[in-house]
Amino acid sequence: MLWVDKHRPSKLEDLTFHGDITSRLEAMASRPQTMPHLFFYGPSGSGKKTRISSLLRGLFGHGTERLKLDKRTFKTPSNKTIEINMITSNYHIEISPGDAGNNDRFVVQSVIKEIASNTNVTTSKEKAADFKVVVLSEVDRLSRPAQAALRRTMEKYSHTCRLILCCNNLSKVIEPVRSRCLGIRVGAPTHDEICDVLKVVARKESITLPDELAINIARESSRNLRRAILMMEACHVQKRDGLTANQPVPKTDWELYIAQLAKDIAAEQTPQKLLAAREKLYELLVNCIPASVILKTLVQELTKNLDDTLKPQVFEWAAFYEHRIAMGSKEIFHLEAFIAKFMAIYKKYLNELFG
Amino acid sequence: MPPVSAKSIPWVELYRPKNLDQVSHQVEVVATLKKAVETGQLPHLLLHGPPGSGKTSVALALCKQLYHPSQLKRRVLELNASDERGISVVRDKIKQFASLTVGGSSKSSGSNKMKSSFLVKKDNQKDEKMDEGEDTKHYPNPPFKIIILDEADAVTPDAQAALRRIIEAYSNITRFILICNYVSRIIEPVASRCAKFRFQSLPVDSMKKRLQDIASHEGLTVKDDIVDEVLKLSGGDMRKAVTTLQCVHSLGGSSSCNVTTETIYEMVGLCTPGVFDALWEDIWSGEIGRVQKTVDDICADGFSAQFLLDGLTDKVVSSDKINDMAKATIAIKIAEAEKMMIDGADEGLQLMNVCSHALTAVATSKK
Repeated sequence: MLWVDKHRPSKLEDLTFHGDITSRLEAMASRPQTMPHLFFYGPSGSGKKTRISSLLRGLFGHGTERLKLDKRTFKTPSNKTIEINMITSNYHIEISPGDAGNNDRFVVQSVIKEIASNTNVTTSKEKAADFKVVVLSEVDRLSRPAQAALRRTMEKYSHTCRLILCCNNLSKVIEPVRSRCLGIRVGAPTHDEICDVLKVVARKESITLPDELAINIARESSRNLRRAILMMEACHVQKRDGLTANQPVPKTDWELYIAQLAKDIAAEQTPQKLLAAREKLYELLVNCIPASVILKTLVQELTKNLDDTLKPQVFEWAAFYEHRIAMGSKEIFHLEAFIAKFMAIYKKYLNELFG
Repeated sequence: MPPVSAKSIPWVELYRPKNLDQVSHQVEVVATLKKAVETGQLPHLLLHGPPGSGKTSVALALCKQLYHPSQLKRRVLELNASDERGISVVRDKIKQFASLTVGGSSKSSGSNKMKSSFLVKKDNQKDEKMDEGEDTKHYPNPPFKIIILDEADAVTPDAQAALRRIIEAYSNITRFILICNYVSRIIEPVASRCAKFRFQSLPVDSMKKRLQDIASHEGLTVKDDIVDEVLKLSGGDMRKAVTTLQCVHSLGGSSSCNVTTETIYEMVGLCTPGVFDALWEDIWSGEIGRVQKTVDDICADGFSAQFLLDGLTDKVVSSDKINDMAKATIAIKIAEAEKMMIDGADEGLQLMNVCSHALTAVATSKK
């Protein structure tokens, strides 16, 4: 088992950072009757899912940990069958309806209605809440019609079921859905908080973690806790006999690859180099690195050693082409176009500088 | 539906107005509809207005006042975006319900009797009146059914076109109430068949009154500044205000002691004003490195870039330190970025783009 999963807190009182959120969740778990629909948002690796599962445990007790994986098939009115995976326990059900692509509306419509229309078989426990919970993850991937479908369902069935929505990007969720939920912002942990968590994990694994290394890992993880813990485990694997203070933090190879690409682009701006860049881009895309992630990382690398006067232009074009990636269907075009644009800007700047 | 304790119903549902008198603020609409209740004459309705202004509440309250509770199920069909509403549904479900004559008593509501003749219908109506006797007297019980099409702007234009004729053909026995946010998304032929009612965003004082009613009913004591903050952030959306109030209650208990204005900001998903100030200061300083770091931090903290742009617009427009030209450039960039974000572009890059443009604009304006 990976350390990330092994040391994931499962109880509300075990959650480490964001004390204010934890206390709010505890208040909710102690008075389940008044719990509204919830909406967790924040960047990845900030602990949204961990908080949701701990809250569920707080609400319903151990039963929520007995999970099973269900595969369900739906038939759309146009006689298409969609398959979707859901994780269920006696008390809750977790789906990411975005997986159904264009047909997500039917999933939202049918699943929630079905779950909501039969009530919870409440156990004898006093504390247990008398509603079911539907956890919808990646709500930002839901299409507009599907989000519209959520609106009334959330109100109509609110006495038998509560929704917990979870997403990264709040602005992609329509206002009517947002206004029906209590929003909970889970920000990324700060470097210090990451260090603290790393130390806790290290103590549980009974290894010694030098302070410098913890700080290095935290800095490299770009405030993503999951990544930080994975990095620490990677460090540990590299040096079985104990971590040292100045050992290098392993970066993922695609990041190194993009860094190299950025160096190449900055070194020479010719059509030949552009052609060489194409190969590298294909290599990245083939390895399933999303195009927008490539572009973002590339911009970060390129702007590291760039003159301040050029930066606004670079950001402008990066934003422009990233938008095109989102709109268009052939990602490589836009990536290449960005690189060509950057080369042109940079070459022009160099020419003006040195005449 | 199994019996549930009233406690687990969200306040928005619990305190939904039960009759037209309880509806806050929408005076003209309510007055007109009350007339309709008295006379039993009702045109097709098209209710439109911003979210949380009480459109659905008015429609439901109207139905409740028109029909006896026992009749409600048979007389009112409520369809919303959570139901399948393609063209096939309009053709089958709506048409079937619309063409059904009124007054089929519970015995004859079986599908084989749906095509009951006019004569039978009249008989049934008589029976019913006798059955229910005294009770129905308080209800006008007009001789038509109501179909509520909630969120009608999400109905496809094709399906709307199919509605055109249905609305007319069955107007003797069926009334339609269309509810939508954007009246422009309803095709003209459908809109022209209905009496349009525009709902306004609720003004602060009438919302405050309602919130205080609810609070006292729930035994919740809220400080005045919290209520004001809730109202400010809800922007005339009653549902949002009530939901936020309930959240305040569920977080802070009946005394709402540990709820600060900042937690309210977070509850509705907005950024705290401090975030804008910091960003604006960085832009003002003219150091792009600093701006980049702040933008990265903002994204990592999970703030929504769209709201950030809203706040930034306020800051830019109200600033008296930069000239109008710079304001215009920044405003254009913000608008573009907003559109791109809705298209699905990355928030961080768009925000960075806006900020770097703002930075250059501010720098030139300083000179």
